[in-house]
Amino acid sequence: MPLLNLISAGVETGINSLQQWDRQGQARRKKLAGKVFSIELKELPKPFYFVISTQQVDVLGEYEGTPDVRVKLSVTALDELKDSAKTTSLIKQDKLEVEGDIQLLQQFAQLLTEMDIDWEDELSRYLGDVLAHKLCYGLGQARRVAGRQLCRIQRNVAEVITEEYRLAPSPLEVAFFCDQVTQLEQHSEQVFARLDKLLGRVVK
Amino acid sequence: MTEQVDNAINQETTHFGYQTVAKADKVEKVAEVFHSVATKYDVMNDFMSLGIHRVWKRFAIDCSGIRPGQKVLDLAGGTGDLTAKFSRVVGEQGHVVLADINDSMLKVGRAKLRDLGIEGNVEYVQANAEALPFPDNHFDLVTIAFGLRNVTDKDKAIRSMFRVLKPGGRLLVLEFSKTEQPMLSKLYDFYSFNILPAMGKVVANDSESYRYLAESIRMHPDQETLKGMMEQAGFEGVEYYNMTGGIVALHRGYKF
Repeated sequence: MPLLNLISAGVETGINSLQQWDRQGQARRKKLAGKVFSIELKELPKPFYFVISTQQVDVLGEYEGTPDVRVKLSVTALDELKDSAKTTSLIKQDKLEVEGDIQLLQQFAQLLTEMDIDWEDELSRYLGDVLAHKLCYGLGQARRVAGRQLCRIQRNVAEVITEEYRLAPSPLEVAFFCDQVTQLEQHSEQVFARLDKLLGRVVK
Repeated sequence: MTEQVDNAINQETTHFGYQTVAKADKVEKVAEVFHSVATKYDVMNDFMSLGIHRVWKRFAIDCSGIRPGQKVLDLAGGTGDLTAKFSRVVGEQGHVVLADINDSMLKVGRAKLRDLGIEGNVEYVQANAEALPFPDNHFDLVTIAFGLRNVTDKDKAIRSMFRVLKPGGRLLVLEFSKTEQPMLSKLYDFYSFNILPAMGKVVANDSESYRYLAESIRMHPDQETLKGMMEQAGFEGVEYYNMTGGIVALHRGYKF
């Protein structure tokens, strides 16, 4: 049994389950209806083709037509795609290869990543309103606390590395070093300019 | 003289599972089976194959080469699994015909596809695969998934499919086939003749239809024979792909 068919089935089921809950999903799909996107992840041997219709997103392992947009990228760059400002830098860094309309690609990335899902509403169907609200509230609180803790840990680790063990320079030291490099670069350019002038005189 | 009589008898009979029946009776008997299972068809497919039939069908769709604007005939389309996907891929400019000889299956398929929001580019036709009511050179793709083994005169049906395909079009036959792995074959036989009818009894309250399913699979031509039949009908570039150890095979042929 072809493994890639299993992967495409899993991807398709996952996307469409989430799309069903997305309140903006149908409107977004309508804008892209009839468009075909070829997405080749560098981690996989073959591309997948995403066919958009008003009903759902179909994922095919083979497509003999011409896709509207072809994309080759790494899994890590997938999330960055939704930010239009990052697209050019991703292309320059060779993390992303695109053939076709980049705006269409961004709309497609938004379709998959900016889902407007009311989790509380969805959960309330199975758990009831009160339990769903408590669960979502609790998870929200936990996420905020975890975020704050993570920031604090990052700060502490950075201080230990830069201030106590001096394994890496502090941000101020890095900025000072960069300034010095810039100054050195300017001085070097001046020296080269003078040398060019002197050489010009000697040749005459 | 005796040979001529035998031939005449053979021409008038065919198999229905392990039974030999008159050709005229097979259509009616197959119809009875599908009238009986129509409402539980999808549930039983998932249950019997543990959902693997979806992967087999997905592979068939990947091999179809279908594109927006094309015309597709989904023969013996039953509850419309393939039609649903074809309809979305060919888009508004394309056209899909879901054909089945059995009106119960067709009704279940039509209701299911409408519930999924599939309409506009799908047409439902009750048709016999042996005498397709479509013009010559009309479709870009003809598929028949788990339907050919129920057809009385398979050669005639394949010729009919060849006729309605456009030059350059392709036929996909997804069907149960013969596994060549002895251990798997034994397991499969045990499952087919002991577990499958029992499951049919529990879920659909109909063990006989599922016994017929197992028997009809054993009576269906193996991979090489079916390939030969397609070539005989005029198809070129015929190849087949075994799935799940040959329990199911996808045959693909082109009309040039």
